[in-house]
Amino acid sequence: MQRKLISIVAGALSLGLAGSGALVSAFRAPAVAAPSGTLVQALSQNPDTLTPAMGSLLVDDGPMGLMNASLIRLNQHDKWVGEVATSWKVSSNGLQYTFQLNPKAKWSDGRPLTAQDLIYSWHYYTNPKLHLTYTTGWNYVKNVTAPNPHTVVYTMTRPYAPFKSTIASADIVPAHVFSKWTVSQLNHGYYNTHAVVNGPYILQKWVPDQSLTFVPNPNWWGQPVHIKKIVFTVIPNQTTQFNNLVTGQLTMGSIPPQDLAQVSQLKPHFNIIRPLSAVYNQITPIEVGFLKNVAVRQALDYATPRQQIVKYILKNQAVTAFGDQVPGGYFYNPHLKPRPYSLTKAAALLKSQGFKKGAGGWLYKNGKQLDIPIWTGSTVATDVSIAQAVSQAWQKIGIHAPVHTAGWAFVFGGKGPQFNGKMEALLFGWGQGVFPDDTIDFNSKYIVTSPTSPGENVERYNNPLMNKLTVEGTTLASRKARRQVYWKIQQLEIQTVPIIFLYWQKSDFAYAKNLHGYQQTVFGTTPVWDWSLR
Amino acid sequence: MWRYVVQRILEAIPLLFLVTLVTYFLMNLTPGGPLSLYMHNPKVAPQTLHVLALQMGLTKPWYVRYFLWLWSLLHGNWGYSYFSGQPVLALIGQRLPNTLILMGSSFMISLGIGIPLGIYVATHQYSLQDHVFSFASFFAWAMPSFFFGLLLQTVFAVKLGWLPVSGMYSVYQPPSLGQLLQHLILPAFVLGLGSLAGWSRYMRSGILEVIRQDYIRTARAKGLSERKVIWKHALKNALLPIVTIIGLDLPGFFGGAVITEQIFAWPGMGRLFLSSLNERDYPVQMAGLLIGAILLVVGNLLADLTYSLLDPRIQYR
Repeated sequence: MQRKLISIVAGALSLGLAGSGALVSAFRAPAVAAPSGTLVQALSQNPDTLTPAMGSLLVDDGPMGLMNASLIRLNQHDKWVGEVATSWKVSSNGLQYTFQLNPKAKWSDGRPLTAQDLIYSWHYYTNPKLHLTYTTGWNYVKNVTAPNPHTVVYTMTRPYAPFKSTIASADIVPAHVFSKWTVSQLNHGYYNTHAVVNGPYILQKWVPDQSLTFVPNPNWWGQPVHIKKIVFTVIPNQTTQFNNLVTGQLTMGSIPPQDLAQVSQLKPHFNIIRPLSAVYNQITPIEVGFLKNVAVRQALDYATPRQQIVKYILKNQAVTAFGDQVPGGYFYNPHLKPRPYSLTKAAALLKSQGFKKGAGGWLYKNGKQLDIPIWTGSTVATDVSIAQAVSQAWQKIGIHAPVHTAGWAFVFGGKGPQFNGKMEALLFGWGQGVFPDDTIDFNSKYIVTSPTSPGENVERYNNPLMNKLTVEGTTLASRKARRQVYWKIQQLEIQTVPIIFLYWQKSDFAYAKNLHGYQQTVFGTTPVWDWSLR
Repeated sequence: MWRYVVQRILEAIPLLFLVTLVTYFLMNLTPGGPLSLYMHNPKVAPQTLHVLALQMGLTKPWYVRYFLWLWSLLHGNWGYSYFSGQPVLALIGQRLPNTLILMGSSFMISLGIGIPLGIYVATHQYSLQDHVFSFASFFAWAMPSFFFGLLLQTVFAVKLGWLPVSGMYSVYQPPSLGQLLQHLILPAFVLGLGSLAGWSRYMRSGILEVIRQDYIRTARAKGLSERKVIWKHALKNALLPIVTIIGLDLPGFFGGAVITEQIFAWPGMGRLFLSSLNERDYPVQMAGLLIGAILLVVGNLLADLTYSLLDPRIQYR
């Protein structure tokens, strides 16, 4: 018996060894070959809802983009072009927007899309009984009228420069369908199984936490689409997503930094690109105690090793950031002179402010330690590594900066570091929209004092010049004039350091070589009707 | 015995009430809240936060919200998810069958291999086999499931191409039993391995303790075959501690396996509850905790009742 067992174990071991030998050379074909005409991409989590303006997750955008067409859309050259609208004009005082609608536009049930749907959409976005999350700008709409079925006029209460990126690009809802549903049905996801849409694809099947399958909308009125089926499969783990790419189960997907070394496995079948995205990572110093002092924030800025973070932690999947406008974009200020990484200058600046080394080699002033804990979310490994790198750099000049990780709900929650009255620094990612509105980020009217207070000025930054500029940025009608405003804002950001900008994300992305017409831009991709699988 | 069962159920009602009260209190004490996630979203307008707080009832004190939740529950309404807006029971109903399939399979693997393995090594104490399997058991027990899962995925799915990487069905083909079984092998094995190793160790020590008892010696003296001695006389008595462990493991069948489900993209309860914890989706969290508590009570009751089947000396009145 014993001999038999030994031979079994030996057999298993030799099989294992043979297997591992095979691993070296083996890159097997996928178990199931991808049929032509089906495009599969991964989502990191299940969308919360597909009901217009009710979701709160980034993953909602992909599926919803297939189902919905708005008045206008941003093309691959970052220019606004008509979608449901064929043309539009703005009144000279910037208070009235008039859109001519495409008479061919239809809903997926075959009913025509008319100006009444746009009027109903206005009522929808301003209905306080609905659980809406994305309603930016609708409070400035005074009235929506329809001189005829194919013309719609928006009258504003004040000039509102982000109109195109908020109201005109919002999803349109079908009046003939939504008016028959109750508030409760709308709030509780009835739309997910009864969607009537105006976009190029319709939802065929949604299996929660597994996949969402889309097929062409038979009543699509725009340019014809070429892909017969688009599937979003829900895969939470990044390495599992990568493994699905390697085995050919996905048509496209991101390559996380930890899997970059294996990217050569993808090259025979995939194109690899590294597009810049409109997401930046940053550290928000909460302006309490010493952090109210601009010189202290400037010292932290000097002591933050951006280049090293980009090179060693992110493996160059990013570009360093010094402001909140996308590099190379229309509103980006190319004349910025950012602070270089210099611990010497940082230490000298702190010394000039009266900080001296004390117990444990840490910096003190008036008997109080310069203690700035760095908080970040526990779910993103790179954020944790970056926080540690920043902490080490700051500690070299005597700033006590321990790293704390927690769930985002805690980091931003009522009893979290934002509201404990102490000096803290929060490390997280933030998106920049097509329209570069900084009001809620830097205007003192939007300083966050409680979890429900209206604003995202988490840093509690209060600067009268910034207040003035942020108002101008959303009300000046001239785009050129607004660009000057945003250039000044970026200059002020460097001078006064409300935020320590770290980097813009530029992740590697793979898409199958048989996918044609696909391109990524800063704010999106080429339209789906340009894509084909050959 | 039925009287005993009814008595235990009645005793469980105040316990469950207390569990919900304490967990609701602790949940609200936990830093963060349902609106925290919206604060981390640049697309959510600042004024929207206040409207959402009012709609979700978050401006009311926690005890008022608790009694409103309890009142709804007693009327059969488990509430709605703060984030998807869908009924909590529907969310659970969509995922529970998947969890039962995964947990049931891993349970079969653990039980089907772990118990015979435990018996085998106990009856070959200090032999080479005992040393090899003991080493393997501790190794498997100590192996983190996320690492082991990714390792198996890389070998069997990526390199060898024998099994699918993740998911429950292929997105390219209509769902079928064959596909389900293919997708089930890796996650079920990864999930079952820890219990397999643990239960085999419990079984080994259980058998070793029993085979030194007088009644086993008597059975052997009567001339019974070793197989009969072990499988008929020793096993029944050695099973008692295992039954307790399995009873306590029952809530895990509902809660799912968070890490394994994440790695293999298995659409089960573990992922639902993990996201509800991260998002502070209180209605989903409460449902999960309540059902978990009920299953713990039921699991213990079933374990107690099984004792009487295995050991006639234990009787409930």
